[in-house]
Amino acid sequence: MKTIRNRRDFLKIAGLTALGLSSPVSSIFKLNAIKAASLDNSGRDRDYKALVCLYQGGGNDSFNMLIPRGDIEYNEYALTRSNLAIPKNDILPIDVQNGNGKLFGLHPSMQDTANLFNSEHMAFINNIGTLVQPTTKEEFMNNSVPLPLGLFSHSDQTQQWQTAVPNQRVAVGWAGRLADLMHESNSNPNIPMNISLSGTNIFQYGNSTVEFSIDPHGGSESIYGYGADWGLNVGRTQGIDMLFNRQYDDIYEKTYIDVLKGAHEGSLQFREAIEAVPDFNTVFEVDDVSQSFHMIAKVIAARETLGFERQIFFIDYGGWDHHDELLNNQETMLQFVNNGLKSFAEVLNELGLFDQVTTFSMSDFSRTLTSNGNGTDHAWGGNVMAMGGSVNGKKFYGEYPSLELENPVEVGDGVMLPTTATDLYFAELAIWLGVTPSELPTIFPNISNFYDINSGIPPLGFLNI
Amino acid sequence: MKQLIILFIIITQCLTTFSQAEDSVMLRQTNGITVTTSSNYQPDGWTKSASGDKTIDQSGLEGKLDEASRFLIQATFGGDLQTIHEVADMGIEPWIDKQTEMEPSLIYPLIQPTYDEYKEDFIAGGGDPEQFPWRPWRDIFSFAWWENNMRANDLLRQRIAFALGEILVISVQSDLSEFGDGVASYYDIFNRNAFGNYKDILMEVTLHPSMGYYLSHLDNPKADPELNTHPDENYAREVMQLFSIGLYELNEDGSRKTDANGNFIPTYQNSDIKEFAKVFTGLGIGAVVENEWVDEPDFGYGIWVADMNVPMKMYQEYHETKEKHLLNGFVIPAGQNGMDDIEQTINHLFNHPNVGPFIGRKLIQLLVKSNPTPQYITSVTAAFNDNGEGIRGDMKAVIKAILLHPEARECSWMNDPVQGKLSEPFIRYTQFTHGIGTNNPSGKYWNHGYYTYENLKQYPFTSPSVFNFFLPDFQPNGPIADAGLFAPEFQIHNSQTSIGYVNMNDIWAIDEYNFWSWEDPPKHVYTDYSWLVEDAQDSEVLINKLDLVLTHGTLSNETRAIIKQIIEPYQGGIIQRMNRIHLATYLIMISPDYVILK
Repeated sequence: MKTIRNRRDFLKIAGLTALGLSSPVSSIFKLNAIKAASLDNSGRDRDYKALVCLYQGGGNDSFNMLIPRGDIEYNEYALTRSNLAIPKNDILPIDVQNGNGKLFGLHPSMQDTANLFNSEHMAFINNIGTLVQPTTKEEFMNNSVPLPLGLFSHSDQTQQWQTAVPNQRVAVGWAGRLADLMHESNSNPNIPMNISLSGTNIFQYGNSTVEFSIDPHGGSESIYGYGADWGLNVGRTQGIDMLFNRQYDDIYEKTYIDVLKGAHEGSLQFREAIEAVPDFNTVFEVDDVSQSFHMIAKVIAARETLGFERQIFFIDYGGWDHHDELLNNQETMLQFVNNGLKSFAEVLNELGLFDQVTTFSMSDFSRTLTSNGNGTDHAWGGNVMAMGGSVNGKKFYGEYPSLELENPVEVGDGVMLPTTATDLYFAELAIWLGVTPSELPTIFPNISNFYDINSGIPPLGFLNI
Repeated sequence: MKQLIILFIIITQCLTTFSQAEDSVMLRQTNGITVTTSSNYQPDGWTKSASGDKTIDQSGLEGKLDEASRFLIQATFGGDLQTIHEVADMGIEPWIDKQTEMEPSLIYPLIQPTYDEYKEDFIAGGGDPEQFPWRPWRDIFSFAWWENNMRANDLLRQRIAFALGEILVISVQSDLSEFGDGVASYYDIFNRNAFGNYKDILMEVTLHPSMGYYLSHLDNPKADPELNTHPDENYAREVMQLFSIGLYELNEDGSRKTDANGNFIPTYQNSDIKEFAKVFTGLGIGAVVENEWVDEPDFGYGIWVADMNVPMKMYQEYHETKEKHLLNGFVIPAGQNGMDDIEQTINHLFNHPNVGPFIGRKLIQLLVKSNPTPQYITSVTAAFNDNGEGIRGDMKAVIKAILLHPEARECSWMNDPVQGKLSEPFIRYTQFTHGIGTNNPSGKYWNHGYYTYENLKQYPFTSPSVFNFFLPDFQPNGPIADAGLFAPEFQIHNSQTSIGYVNMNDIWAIDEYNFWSWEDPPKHVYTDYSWLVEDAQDSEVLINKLDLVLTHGTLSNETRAIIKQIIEPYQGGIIQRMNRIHLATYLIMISPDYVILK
């Protein structure tokens, strides 16, 4: 039996019941009257919505991505980061509405990202990282509270950003749990809600759903040779068709074949739908990051043909583990990210869906503020970004820390102790996608360590929910 | 010259009689059976003659071979024709006994030589030695695993070791990816103890640095009340939940006990875990490899410079020496040496009545069928509890109980609708590799397995967590869940791996690459079809040969007809025969007949 779960009820819990609210919270919550009318029987928004996760695998040095520009803060930054500091004049200025007058800027490779931020379409969440519970520097140093497993280890931290379970190694991701909960919003039985541009990943692996893998250039994985007319492929195709069309009474055989058949039909259907999407006006660069965004845009454009209302996309852009050559590597790689985000924003506007798709970044950890010569090492708290029409942009969320060594959130070598837990970031994205606050603990087991699900206020406030 | 008459029976014949009182001709009335003959043809490999009446009365050659093939599919990584004949000649139980007497083939001794040789090749190819990993990493483990697997003669032991590694799990999806030597050393615990005692397995696992790292009881200090720290609970939890007693009290038949209100009875509470956590304190690495930083091991070093083949040792000053209250009133006294605490704790868990049914059921599921009857589990529990000579935990007795039980051996069970399991993807691969055979010009079995892992999502010690690739109680949606049955392996059968498996068969069966090599010049290992080329002149003979080796005689009429229809048009010389072999093998490999083991 479905309970009515919708934005209206959520606001009732919050004590807010209609449009035109005058409480301070109302500026964060914007209820779109048209959208309210479009809620379906399950209580979820009938309008299409998608999350796009850009995973910067390896640990993005995000304090060279988002940099303080004011005299005092820049000098602290430059002193700490020594030969890795970006020259002050090269930093691209951004105008932070809630920056309390402090000045910030972006890495020189991110011109379009700066524009997106200044146009209110992007927000940064600062000094965010994995935590089991709110943790002080003293507690960390004394090891007196539970800490995430394998801090500073790629495999563990990647797992934790993707599973939202920092105190155990589990194999199910939070996007997987979201899909378990929400996949019935989609009418397509053969193609799952979660779509990966980077193969299997923990993030999208659910208890009863898995991701559908597609290739940025070629579309979905399908049975090699099926449908081709040369060589053995004729016999192969016929044989497979006959195996599919057979009757199977044995329950194990039937289950095996049904999954395979569904996957096969899904891949054919997918390919057909993608090929029918007309070319976009937006131009995409040829690198894999931009082409991944390009493919995602095609899938979104084909959403009605394919029967999708809710989707989560995943791009694993690895290679950020810059123990060496930080400056050179980031120059190139942040450029790719910048170009991808720019084109993606453009094409979403072309499709009229800019409000309905939220792109957000994640990374295993940020990196040591101090240099190891020409690179940096594994650290912890860092900065991530969210982009889209639903983002309350031109703002910072969380707290941008002091970059002076030995400050209250620096725990040695320029490793920042996170002051915002990843759970809050994830929870807000989930609520935007359609999860109700009371459902949050089933997706994020530790959420109540950081957020009161009955509070009626958003976890961070960077999205219109 | 005696004319050879060979009867091809579609459903396996058995040496044991069916429970029904009908005579053997009832096979004709059973679903989908036809009996055809083909004469004047002697395929290679048939060294005995068979006569028609022997086949009809179920004592003929075919039945024995099919039965042997089916046994090998359960009990090994797959058997070729020669091994099938060996088992058929010897008999299954004698073959098992002979296997248990063989010395184990081990992986760890192959690690250093493989690493050294691979490094030499790397340098010879112009590689920079500074860039070469300083320790053997996961690829070296993979190479050594295959070198061992392809040459080992202790086939049963190897398969049991693999199964044990799916219960007491570590994974290279962790920093262990850089410690292939540690992974190999850990794996050899199971190679050495597959026919030993389960208690020894538990002790060796507990003290192995790979497990110490993986479940974080390495460098785990006792509680410090001033700093308000407490011991890590990870190993304490999993040694109970996964390696010995499980979550709920069990009856001998594997069913869960219930209390007066009909609720399941947990075996332990969270407070118990905290007590057990105290036991697993004070362990640090036992030895270091040659390195530029330290000469001696110490507590707190982690595994970075550890000799991963040396068990962890006790650093008593970091061990919790207070009393520990374990399960059912058992108390570890205060003031003992940490190793004694651990030994007594492992013994305590080992003696819990749950271990037989809990581990027994997992092993049955991994080897034979997903839904054993209560009677089956009871037999295996009994063997675990007492091997007939008063010894508890004798793995040889347990393995025999599993493999010789009627539910594993008797063909009448094959027709039971509940009987069956989805063969694990990796086992489907090894069965192909061993059953069809390979041709290896380079002489090296250096399989890195990346494409295999990418497409199957299963490979030795690569599971995403300590819970293995699939859970014992997984129920795939559809008729299996509707019937209240379990089918663990379906947990990794999804839209991606189902197609991935089909596409790997394109590479293995059609392109004839069994191991793909990245080296230059490549050291590919090829599929060897030479023994089928002659037979491929006759579609039926070819299909029957493949049926024996891959589907142990159970290839259904329907699938058989499909394959015959597809390959029959390829008439002519060697090229056409290869086309037949490629297509027939590919189609059998992807068919439900092959992947489902009844």
